[in-house]
Amino acid sequence: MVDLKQTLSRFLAIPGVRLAVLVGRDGLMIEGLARDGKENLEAVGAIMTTGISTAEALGQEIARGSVVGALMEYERGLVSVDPLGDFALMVTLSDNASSISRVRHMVKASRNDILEALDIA
Amino acid sequence: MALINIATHEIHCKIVYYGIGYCGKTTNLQYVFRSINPNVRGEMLSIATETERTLFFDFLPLDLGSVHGFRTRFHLYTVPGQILYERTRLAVLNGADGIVFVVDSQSEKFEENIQSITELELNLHRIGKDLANFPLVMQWNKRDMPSALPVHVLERYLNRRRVPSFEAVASSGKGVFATLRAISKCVMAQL
Amino acid sequence: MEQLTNLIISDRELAIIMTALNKLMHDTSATSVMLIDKSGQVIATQGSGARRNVTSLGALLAGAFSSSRHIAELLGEKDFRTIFQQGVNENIYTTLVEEQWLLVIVFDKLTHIGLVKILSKKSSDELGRILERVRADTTRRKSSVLNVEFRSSVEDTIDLLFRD
Repeated sequence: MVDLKQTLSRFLAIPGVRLAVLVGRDGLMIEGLARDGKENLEAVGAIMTTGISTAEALGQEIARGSVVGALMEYERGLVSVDPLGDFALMVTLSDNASSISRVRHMVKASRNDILEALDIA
Repeated sequence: MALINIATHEIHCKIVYYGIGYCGKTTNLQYVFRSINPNVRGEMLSIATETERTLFFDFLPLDLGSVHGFRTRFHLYTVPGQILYERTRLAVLNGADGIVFVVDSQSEKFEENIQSITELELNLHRIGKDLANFPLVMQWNKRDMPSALPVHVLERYLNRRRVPSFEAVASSGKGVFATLRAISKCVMAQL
Repeated sequence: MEQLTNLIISDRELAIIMTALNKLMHDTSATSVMLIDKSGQVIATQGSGARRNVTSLGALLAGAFSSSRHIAELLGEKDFRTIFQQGVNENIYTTLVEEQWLLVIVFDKLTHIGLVKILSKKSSDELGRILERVRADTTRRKSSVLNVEFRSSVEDTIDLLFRD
């Protein structure tokens, strides 16, 4: 049985990544890790789910398919959202853009592990 | 619903005491709890209001021990009697294997009793039970009260199905165990 | 839907149930997992839920669940098939299995509700299949257990223990 916490800690091992949250499409957090424990992981997951719903709606409106990734640039950080099929989202917060490609790569690499952990065929 | 667990050698049955507010359902269970061999009973659970009126249900688990290698358990429940708890009664009835209909024999309660038994029949129908075969026992309680109606009157209007009936004064224990014996045997016979 | 008057669970099926509960408990890191009949009878438990008060827990959880479904009806909602009770240290997630059983997962802060929801769905489907088999099995098995000697002995025991 794959340990989700361990999978998420691999994201945190990427320099610059502050938190990683795996959240279901219904907004309920499946697992989450933060580097300094101050962040409200559940809120991040819940808010992001709503954000992605809006992005999906736009995608439908402009007939460009589903969301395959999203990036939000803030004054002091960067949030990357990577959908895992229909059931979950991986949300990461990084200090800046330099870690993004490694984050995306890690999402691809961890995808099967996560699917297995969630018992989804 | 009676549960027969061959692996653990257990048989579980649910018996519900039904009737109007203050007719003596909780009193029946309390008497059983006090008087029965402590090895046979578990803890009694009562979800009640601050004034000790049943809010949700009373629950008393009884364990007959091993019979031919099978441990037989009866779980006794009461429903809250007041009119506003109609839906709650339906919730507690879920999975019942037998019912004791407790009647407050006093004449001023007659109309309420009629309404209550009508409601019971409707509820049994709603949960898909075949009334003709369903284990049911009547208890004519509060026989000691001055305005208690004669038993033959109660029989005529409330016991249309002619199921076994017992006179009782639950507060003193009279008739409590006779009723319990009858409903238990009735439930077992139906399994 | 037709309701049988009783269900018979064999050794084999119980073992399968226990395995399923154990796996769910392990995968979610839950404190305990219980399978109860919707009438309140406890069928199986795993974990520190082998507590003294498991009988009362079964009765109360079933009562709460049954109550919730009636609330749904009153609200014009089709059904509430799960309940989530959030505590200070522990939480309880209850879900209906095939209109007959309740799967109850007790978990603490180390586990998140999202995970419990997803994994219990799969267990619930598996338990549903077990229930189908139990139902099919019941008609066959009944007479082997509830024979005349048994019934007679139970009546004697009733007379003995429920005496005035």
